[in-house]
Amino acid sequence: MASITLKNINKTYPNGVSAVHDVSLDIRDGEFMILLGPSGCGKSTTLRMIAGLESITSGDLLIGTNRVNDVDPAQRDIAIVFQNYALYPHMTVLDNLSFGLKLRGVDPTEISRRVQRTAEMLGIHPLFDRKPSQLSGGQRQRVALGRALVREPQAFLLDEPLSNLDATLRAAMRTELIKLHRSLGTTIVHVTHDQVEAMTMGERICIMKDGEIVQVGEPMDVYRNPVNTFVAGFLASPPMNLLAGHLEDAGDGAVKVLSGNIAFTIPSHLAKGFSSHAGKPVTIGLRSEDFYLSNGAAKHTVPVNVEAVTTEVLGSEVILVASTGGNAAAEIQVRMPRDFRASPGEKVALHFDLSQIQVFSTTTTRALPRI
Amino acid sequence: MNQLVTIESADRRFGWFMSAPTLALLLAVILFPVFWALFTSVHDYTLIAPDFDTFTGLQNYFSALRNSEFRHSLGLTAFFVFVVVLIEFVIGFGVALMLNSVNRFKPIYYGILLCPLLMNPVIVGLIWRMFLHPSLGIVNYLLSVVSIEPVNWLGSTNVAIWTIVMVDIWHQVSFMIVLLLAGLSALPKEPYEAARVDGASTFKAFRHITLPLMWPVIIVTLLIRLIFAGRPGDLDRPCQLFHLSEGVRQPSCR
Repeated sequence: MASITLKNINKTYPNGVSAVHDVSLDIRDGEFMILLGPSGCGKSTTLRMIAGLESITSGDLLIGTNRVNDVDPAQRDIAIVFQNYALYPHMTVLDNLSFGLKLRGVDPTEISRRVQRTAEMLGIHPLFDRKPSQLSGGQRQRVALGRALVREPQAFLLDEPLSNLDATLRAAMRTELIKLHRSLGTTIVHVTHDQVEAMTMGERICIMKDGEIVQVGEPMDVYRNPVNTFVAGFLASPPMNLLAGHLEDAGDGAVKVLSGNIAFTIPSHLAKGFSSHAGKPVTIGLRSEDFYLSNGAAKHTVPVNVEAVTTEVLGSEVILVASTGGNAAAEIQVRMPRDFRASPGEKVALHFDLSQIQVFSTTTTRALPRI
Repeated sequence: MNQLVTIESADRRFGWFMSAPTLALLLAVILFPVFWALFTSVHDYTLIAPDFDTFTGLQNYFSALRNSEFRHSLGLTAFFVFVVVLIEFVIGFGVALMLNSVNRFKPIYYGILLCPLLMNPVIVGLIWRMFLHPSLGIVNYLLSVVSIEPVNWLGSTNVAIWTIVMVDIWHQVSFMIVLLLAGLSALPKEPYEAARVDGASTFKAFRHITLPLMWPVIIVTLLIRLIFAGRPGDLDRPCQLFHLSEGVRQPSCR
């Protein structure tokens, strides 16, 4: 087991395209770290640089305390699970699992012991004689995972391993990977563009955009305190409602928020950080689950009146898509209890939990500190 | 259900209808000549008496095998085919492996490689006959520049067969390269990355991934080349060989 440290890592391709820009990240020993971002944000490139499959243009990569920039992938003692599994198509499952160990000259009895144990753990031992082409997607995924596990490496690198699975299987594998990490305690770096995976699996999430790290933190911290509108809009489904508006000084340190038909005052103890931005254009962030139908549900609620556009009944809950009305009408998505119904055009009186409001500077897109 | 069956059988009829002309043509130009040749070979048949009244069984085959010159030719052909295909495969696979890792100017390399293949075998024979001319050819001239004695490329009984092997390799190796390269570039890239992380050296990746994955392509390529190189009824080859060895008439390259 080992920590992985990235210091000012850059990746520039020969054609001048910069894929990763000045990435610094400390992945602790035994940590489950998620690299999250939209496609093309450089998360896979970062992972491939850790694996040694891509060269590092500049910066330092440390596994444990060793600088491994120029170390061959085979010597880095890491295992990687690829998105499309990359199994050896001409080998049986058994050979796929044992190939890496054979190459390293591990003793045959030790190989068979490790392969047997891993296969039983993943439930793939009945498939030993099959070729990858005779396996289902989920089985291939397990074999790919098994191939990484038998190596007993210092760290696992997972490159969107669940993205080719159907929804049910993906959910099951998520749980399984979490359990696996708990029992092995090995460092895992997991690349994904799926924010549900990121939220549920990661001990920490590193959100990337355009080759740069935007925010690193524990899932709930990132969720509750996004540093900018990108993180706010990326995490969660439905994403945070971002409304254009501006702030006005309401005296005594309180701040008035105006956006279309929405207008409310944030009391001074919740608005210390916002008051300096009075008079400037801002983006207001309201999470969909912070709306209530009654005003007693949270400590500091303000009324928000909207007009229903449509409702999406999901079974366990209802997503209300509503228009805020007025000049700067915007659509917001609100989570409602499962028995909520509203016909299009119907006025709905909502109450928003003020303690959860996020305010972003429109010019920098960065979040304004509350305090 | 019944309607489905009707549509299916109508489809099948249409299929047969569409393939009928080609099938008839194949029957006429391939299957018929093959059986004609087999039929003729077991009869005493000459162009003077072109009838099939005397059945001779395998007599014609035996008399051919008794002929030492035929046996010599047969052995020579087998040797030629084996050597040519083997060397072409080794060179071809090597060049294909190298070209597979090249990204820049790939079409240019392809173009250069395909040039010999596009040439008419007769022309190849003529060109090389000029190149290899004992006293006027450029090959012997270049050898003389570095003080090597001129070689009688096509006249010497020891050298002639190797000269023909060399010219055939020059002419046909690109066929091997192109087929093998097509196979190589169709291989999935991911297993190689997995193997690199698993700890495979370049040679081990070649041995454990490239070779097993390439087997089907290699076998087909070798088979095609074996057939082409050893095809006794090839119209081109006797021409090419004739042009190369014209006037020499040594049994070594007949």
